[in-house]
Formats: sequence, C-alpha cells, structure tokens
Amino acid sequence: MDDLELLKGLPGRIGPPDVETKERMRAVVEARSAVSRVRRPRRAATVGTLGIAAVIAAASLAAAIAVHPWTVDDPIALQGIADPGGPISSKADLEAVVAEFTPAIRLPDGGSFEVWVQRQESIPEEAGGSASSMIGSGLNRGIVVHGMVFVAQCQWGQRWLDASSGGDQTGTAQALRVVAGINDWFRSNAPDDDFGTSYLLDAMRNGDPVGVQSEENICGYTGSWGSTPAQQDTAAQGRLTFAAETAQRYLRNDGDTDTFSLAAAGNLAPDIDWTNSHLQPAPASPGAVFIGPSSGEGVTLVAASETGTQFCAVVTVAEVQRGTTTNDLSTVENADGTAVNATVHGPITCNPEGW
Amino acid sequence: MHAVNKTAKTATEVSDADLIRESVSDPKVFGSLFDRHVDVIHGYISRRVGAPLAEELTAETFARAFARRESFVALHDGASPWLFGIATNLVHNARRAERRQLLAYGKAAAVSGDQPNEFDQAEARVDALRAAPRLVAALLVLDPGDRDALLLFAWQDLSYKEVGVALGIPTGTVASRINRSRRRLRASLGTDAVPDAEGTV
Repeated sequence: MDDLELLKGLPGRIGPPDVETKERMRAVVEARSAVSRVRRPRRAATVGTLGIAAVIAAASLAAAIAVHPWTVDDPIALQGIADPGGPISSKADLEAVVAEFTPAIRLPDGGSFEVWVQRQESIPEEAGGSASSMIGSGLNRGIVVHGMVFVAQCQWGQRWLDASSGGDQTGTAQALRVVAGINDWFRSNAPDDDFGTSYLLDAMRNGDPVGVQSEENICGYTGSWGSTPAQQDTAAQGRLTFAAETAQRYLRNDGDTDTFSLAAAGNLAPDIDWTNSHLQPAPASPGAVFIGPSSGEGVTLVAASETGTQFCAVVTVAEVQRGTTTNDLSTVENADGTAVNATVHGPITCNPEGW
Repeated sequence: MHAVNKTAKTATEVSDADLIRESVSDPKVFGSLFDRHVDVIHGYISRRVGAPLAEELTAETFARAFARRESFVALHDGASPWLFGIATNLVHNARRAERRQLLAYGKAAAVSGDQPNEFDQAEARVDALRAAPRLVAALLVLDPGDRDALLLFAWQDLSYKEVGVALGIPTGTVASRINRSRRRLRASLGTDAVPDAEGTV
C-alpha cells in the first residue's frame, strides 16, 4: 500500500455537520457579512520571531549581498543576504548581524531594534515555537535579517497609525512609501507573505486605520508598543480598555455574558485581535484580547503585556472591574491528554487591584 | 451575505462563478454557495484542526469569502479551490491545534490499529491505523506549505492545478511540494520514529 493510500486512511474523516451546526455557522456568516470589514486572519503573535523560520526555509536567498545605507528613495536597501544560512551561535553573533544590517533597514525616527534583540536573546521555548528561532539552535543570518525587516514593518505601521490619528499626512505618506519598499523586497526574497505586508500596505493605501491596527496586533516584541515596561503595560491596558468598552456596549444592548463570542466581539471591534481557548497561539499572547469562559458574573477579558503581566477586566452592564490574573491561560488538553482545543479552563480569577 | 437565504437559487446548473457574480448585487445568493460547499469545507478543516475549532473556522471561511467575492477570479468552474485556500490560511492560524490534532490521530490509531473492530476492517484503514504514528511524525516535520499541498491533494482529492489555485502557487511548485512530501512520508514508513506528546520525533 502506498503512502498516499495510507495518508487517506488516517483517522479524522467526518460526516457532514448536523443541521444545528450548519445553522450556527450560517448565522455567524450572516452576522459577519452585515459589516463591511472583515478582520484579518489571526496569525501567531510570535511571527516576528518564530514564523520567520518558515519563510526562510522556503526561500532560496541570493548569496550576493548589496547592503547600503537607507535613503528616502530606497526604503529597504537590502538586495540580498550574504551567507543567509550562517548560524547564530551566540548573543555576540546576533548583535553583530544586527549591527551589520541596521544601516540598510530604515526605522522611524526614534525606532530601535533593541526590544526585538532582547527578545531573541531571552526567548523561551514557547509552546508552538520553533527551535529555528533560538540562538545556537537553528537561528541564522537570514532569519535575523528577515526579523529585522519585520520589526521595521511593525514600527512603520505604528508610525502610520500615530500620524493618521494626528492628521499628519507627511508621516502617513512616508510610512506608506517605506512599507511599499518592504513589500517589494519581501516579494523578491521570500516566496510567502507570512508577515501580512500586502494587507498592511492595502490598509495604508486605503487610509484604513482599522486594517492597519489589525496588522499591528501581531507586532509583539518588536518595539512597536514601546521600549520600556511601563510603555508596554500601558499598551496592553489600552487594548483591554477598548475591549472592555466593546463588551460593555454588547451587554448594554441586551447581549448576554454567555454569548459574547469571537464572532460577536469581532463584529463590534474588528481591529481587536480577539481570541479564546479554541484559538492559537496561547490565549492572551501580547496583542490579543482573550475572552474567558463565562463565569456568570460578567465577561472576563485578559490582555497580556510583553512584560508578562496579564491584565484582566470583568465587564458587566454596570461596571468594569480591572485587575491582573496569574492563571495559566495556555491552551489545555482534555484530561486524557489527547484531545485538542477543549475549553476546560475554569473561571479566571481576576484580582481586582485595579490598574 | 446579508440574510443568507437557504431558498435562494440553488439550481446546480448555475456555476459557482455565476453565483458569486450574482451575489455581488444580491447577497442572498451567496447562501447557495454556502450550502454547496459547507460540508466539504467543514470536513477539511475538522480533519486538520479538530471538530471543536472547525465550526468557527468554517464560518470564518465563508465570511471572508463573502467579503472578497468581488475579487473572485473564475479560474475554475468551481469555487472550492478558492474556498480551500481561505480555509487553509485560517488553518495556519491554528498551527498548534493542527499539530495536536495530528498527534491525536497518531495516538488513537496506535490503539485502534492493533485491534480493528468490525467497522474498521477495510484493509486500507487498518494499514493506515498501524502506520499512523509514523505518518503523523512525518507530517509534523513537513514544511507547512508542503503539508498544505499534500493534504489538499490526498485528503480533498484536488488536482495539482486546483491545489495551485488554492495556495496561490504555480502548478510546478505544487508538484515539487507534493513530491518532496511524499518522499519524506515514504522514508518515514521505514523508521520506527513515533512522536511524543510534544510532537518531537
């Protein structure tokens, strides 16, 4: 028996969904189609570090190198990466590559690779992670450079948002020009657009802050949300505040705590990266807002900061109780350890110390 | 799909492309496309990431398809490659779920494959169950793009050309991805490698 036949015979083939399931799906589609904007696909918040490996693995990068300082007319001055497979075995190796390529990758004024570098140097073996992102364990020059370009993309996206909200047309135009250059470079150096650059570019061109924000939601650990712990915590609190307002609006319009689902939330605020225990990566990764299981007392939301603090809010019609939680919100398995995507989290304990 | 109408045009003689075109001016028509494809899309997603997540991602697939219907390009008579492409992108967002789902297949098969019951007598199924742990191990280490191509081809019976449409890659690339994946699968069948709980082989 050949491999294809064996593959076809693997378990998992199921019959059509039952009528109730179809109707639920139909209802979601109906609800979603009633709004003009569709949220961007959710991608791993760790794409800036871990997802890069997939791009590199598929890319056959040019061996030639042409690195020269960035100019306004040449937003991404990289033409190729010499020795892209060259291993990064130490922090010194990493910092040397960053120093080598920094002149060729333009960041907004005040931008820095520092947060991202620190993350690379301390990155834990995260669930869903990849060894290819770790120093001494698969990280190479190509991955680092692509990561740096992604950092630039994130910071320019944030720059566009700031400029847009401030009515700074020069700023939005500059950000658009740079991101277009990134896209051109990515397209010639990697076969896949795992960084969502095209989506970001479209949103910028359309003057669509919701679309740009959707792309920025995956920019954890790139420095886009601040370089200090206080700034990073503030960013997470801002996301959670907006999410709590959204949930409260839902409840005040006769919504129920049990029905504040991803679909309902996404309809109300498509620029928030809503997640729950059925979605990956781990709930409440920085940039996302986690909808906890209903406790009957209110809608519990969690937003994790890049500092590791998990801010939470319990939302009712009358109030929003703010606090932090230390509950492990990693996606868990059923008791037998084999089933997947089970919602078995108990109620989240949101310690109401405020923030 | 404002108010998806189950009783909207469902005549099978109307092509998917026509339905999509018509749905631009009459969103209710999109309901017919939903009815036509929801079973197979749900089945595909379920097999890749598990039933609990499948419902949500299937709905999301059609919601996104609706939002993008004006940009649909009728390279094929049917819309299924296009829908599979959207679904596959959503599956990418759930890579951990996919990994755990594959591991669950391996574990389930390791038990039932040794003791096939009356419903599992088909030779192919029994063989597959016994080989499942090694197949799963091989699938887990495939490049995601390679795995997409292989599973669309093997599980959904898409042609190379249709896989190419779904994934937005040339047919030649589809062929190379599938060939490369199959080589790795075949190689794995000659080993005893079995993934542990974390998918490490």
